[in-house]
Amino acid sequence: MYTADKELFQEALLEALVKKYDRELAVCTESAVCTDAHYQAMSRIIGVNVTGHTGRKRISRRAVVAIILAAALLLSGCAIYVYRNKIWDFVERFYEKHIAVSVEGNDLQRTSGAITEVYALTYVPEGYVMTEEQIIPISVLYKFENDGGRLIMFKQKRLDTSQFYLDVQNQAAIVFDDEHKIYYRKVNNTHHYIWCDEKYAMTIKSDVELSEDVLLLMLQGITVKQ
Amino acid sequence: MLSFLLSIADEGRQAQIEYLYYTYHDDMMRFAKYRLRLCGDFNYDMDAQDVVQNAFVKITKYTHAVDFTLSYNELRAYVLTIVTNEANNLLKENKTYEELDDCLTEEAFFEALRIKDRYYEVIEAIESLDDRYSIALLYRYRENMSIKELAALLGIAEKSVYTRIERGRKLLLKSLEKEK
Repeated sequence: MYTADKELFQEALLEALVKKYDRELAVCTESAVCTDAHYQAMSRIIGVNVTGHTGRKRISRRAVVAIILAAALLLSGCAIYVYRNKIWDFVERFYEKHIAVSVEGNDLQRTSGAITEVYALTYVPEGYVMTEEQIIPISVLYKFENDGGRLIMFKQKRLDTSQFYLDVQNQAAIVFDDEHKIYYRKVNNTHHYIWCDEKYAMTIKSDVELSEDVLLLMLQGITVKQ
Repeated sequence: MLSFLLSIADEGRQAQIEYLYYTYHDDMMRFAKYRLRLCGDFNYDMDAQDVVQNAFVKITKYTHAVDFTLSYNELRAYVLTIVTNEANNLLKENKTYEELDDCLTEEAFFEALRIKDRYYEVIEAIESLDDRYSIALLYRYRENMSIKELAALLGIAEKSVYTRIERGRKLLLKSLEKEK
């Protein structure tokens, strides 16, 4: 009955706390300097030897990605195909057991407020039909299901200071056409595919692993919803 | 200490905990110092270290409840709720509450909230809520934590969890009515 309201409330709770804490951190002048005794205690608590706050091993590597999709002029009844001609730097920081991936770029439009362009997914693998559509100010969500009960979910979110976590064992970067690159990770038997354009972060989650051909078709099938 | 090590014996969880540490430790420390100083704690430098250590003890125990698909800022907000709660515990801010009569049903709450009509006003109202209420609401509604789990996470009695959630909902609605 009030499921949609509850889901909106869930989003509002997190968004409010993000704003609140971001604001406080922006004005707090305290340093993060701690005693050696603190780091010794932290080493015992988290189970690894931490000598300071900078991490044990950090290697930066720039991966330059250009995702260029075809653009079509908007005519009445025609779809606008989402395209980017910006080059984004994906910065990967390697730790012993995980990789932190950041989306950084000088021209990134870090959006705030409501999503202004709602994306639609016009291609899904054969047999899948849309079972749910949820469009709220800060995110867009579509769920698809096939006869076997397998699910695919597409989510569009605003691009804030995006950084996501990949663990070394379950990650890969998929590069195809020498240009398109999205990140893959497996979380609790669900396959995640993550990428960004200049305004939004997108995720596809699937119960089954998607081939590169299917991924490319899905990527190219993203349009601005009319 | 052994129980802590055993609790993070799983390598995947270990990687996650390390990620949280390397990514957010400094912000957690700065935030703890800031909050404690604002509350008049003269020993805030050292107390903040205790707060962050306690926060990580909780995090290692509740890693399964952390959603690592969230963005950087969202995940940071989660860990800072743990820091906030531990800071409040240290300052003994957990007062007892009077019993509340006439609790709202879920349906009545969402009907009165009218979030579809005023989404951004609701966000503002949540921001202005005392942390004790907003944190309880976050973990109850977003993470679907049971009262028992929430009581253990926050370090308070189960009855107090009920009261915080109910009082939080009522104060939220009251704040929204004032905005009108």
